[in-house]
Amino acid sequence: MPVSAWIMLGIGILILYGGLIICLLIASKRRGHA
Amino acid sequence: MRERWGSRLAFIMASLGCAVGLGNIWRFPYMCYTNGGGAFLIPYFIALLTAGIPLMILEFAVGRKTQGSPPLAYYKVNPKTEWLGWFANFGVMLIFFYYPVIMAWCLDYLFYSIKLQWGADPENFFNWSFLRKTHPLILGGLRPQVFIALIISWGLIYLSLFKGIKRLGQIVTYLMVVMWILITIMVIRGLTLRGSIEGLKFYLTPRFSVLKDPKVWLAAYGQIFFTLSLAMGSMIVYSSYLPERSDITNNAFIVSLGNCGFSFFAGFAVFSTLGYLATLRGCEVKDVVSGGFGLAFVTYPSAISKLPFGAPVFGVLFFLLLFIAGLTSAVSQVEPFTAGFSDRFGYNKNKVLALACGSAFLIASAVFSRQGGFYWLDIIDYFVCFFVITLVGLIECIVIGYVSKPSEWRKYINEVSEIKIGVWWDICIKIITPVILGVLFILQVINTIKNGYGGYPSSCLWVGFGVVCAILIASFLLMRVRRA
Repeated sequence: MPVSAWIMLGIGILILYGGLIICLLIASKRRGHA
Repeated sequence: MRERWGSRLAFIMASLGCAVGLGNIWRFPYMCYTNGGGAFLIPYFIALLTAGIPLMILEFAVGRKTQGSPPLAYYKVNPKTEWLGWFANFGVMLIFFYYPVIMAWCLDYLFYSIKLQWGADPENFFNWSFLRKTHPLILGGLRPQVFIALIISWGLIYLSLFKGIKRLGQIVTYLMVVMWILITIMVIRGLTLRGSIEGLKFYLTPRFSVLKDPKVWLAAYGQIFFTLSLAMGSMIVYSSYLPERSDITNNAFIVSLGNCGFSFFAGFAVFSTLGYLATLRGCEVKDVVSGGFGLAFVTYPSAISKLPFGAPVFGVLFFLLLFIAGLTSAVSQVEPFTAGFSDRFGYNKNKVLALACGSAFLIASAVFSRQGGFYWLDIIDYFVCFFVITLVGLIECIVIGYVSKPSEWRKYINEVSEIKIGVWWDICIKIITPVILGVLFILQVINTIKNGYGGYPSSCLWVGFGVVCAILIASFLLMRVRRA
């Protein structure tokens, strides 16, 4: 695969899964139902 | 006393189940390939941040604050906008008339996978042995195997919903875990096939020159809008079951990113398998690439038949994945409709549910399960997506952005949310999203009038326009009926 494809793969993983993990970490600090 | 989700996880999973549907598996990877490969991710992420997530926050806020299904929710926002809730409800009703039929096809194919019954020519099998397509103007006979699978599909939809929201949350949570396991298996299987890297090259290699084309940007905004199941009322009704002080913004981020993450991941399963198929045929990936029904019922079965080992197992797993993706979305389509009538007129929700499931099943059997049903499914899907849902989304933004005050909504959202939103949200709701949806809507109307759609006779398209007008009139009429 060309380098540009690897870069887009990295950007995709970073934004989607990185963002998701950050949001889940924020949510885990809250107690109760919410 | 309004029903409540059992936990925050149940709400997130149910909303994610609503958003993750068949399109995540068979539409996104194809859209990515046809709109610049990896470069498509740039407009896609911008659309997610400027339209998808802001609109998701808006729908969660409307449902959470008003504690009602779309008609009641919009009535509480402004009594004159109640029709918008009904319009969304009738739009989603049209979807659940045909959506379980696609689930039924997946269920049939799940059983066909055991003996790889599509043989050496899956295209011929799908069109002429399985559906026995006729012509849009000739409905033809009922397809018995579709009819039986449709009974099972509707049975499962009813069973998932009739015990209430708490039980639905538990069921969908379980199904979502199964879906992630299944897609992971499909990705691992795909990546370990010969030639898979060739497929991924097509999926991810960016062609940045396409970013100058406005159509690519419109495609990205359209994809984000449809993949998140916005403007269908489902997110409004799901969030109306949230208890006091529930988060809005972070939940919207989690659901939106989770949904797009699923699409991105599914792309690896699809394109690695396409790479394998191209390698076996000695052609280029672009010669085997397809999306939608073609990918699910023709290209993928071709690849499954040629797997070195365990072909029936992977066939069953793939169609099970599609079926579950369909089921978690189908329940979210029926819920706003039943809750709409129950909230507005005080009817017993379970009676409305039984009536909705029964009548939708009868209509689906009478039209979409027949030989010519495929064409009508395609026509109705096109009209609902581009003329009902886009219009609802556009007017939704206008109502919140101009009829009520977005700054007040923002204040309310920030009071209960873990992530605070700024003025950028007002700009997205007042300007960016409505402008993009407005352009999408106008271009689609012009294109349909000028070029028609899918080569169908114009009489079929007038039926499509007629159905949209009929549900619009019905929405205004229902607004005038006395409240419960």
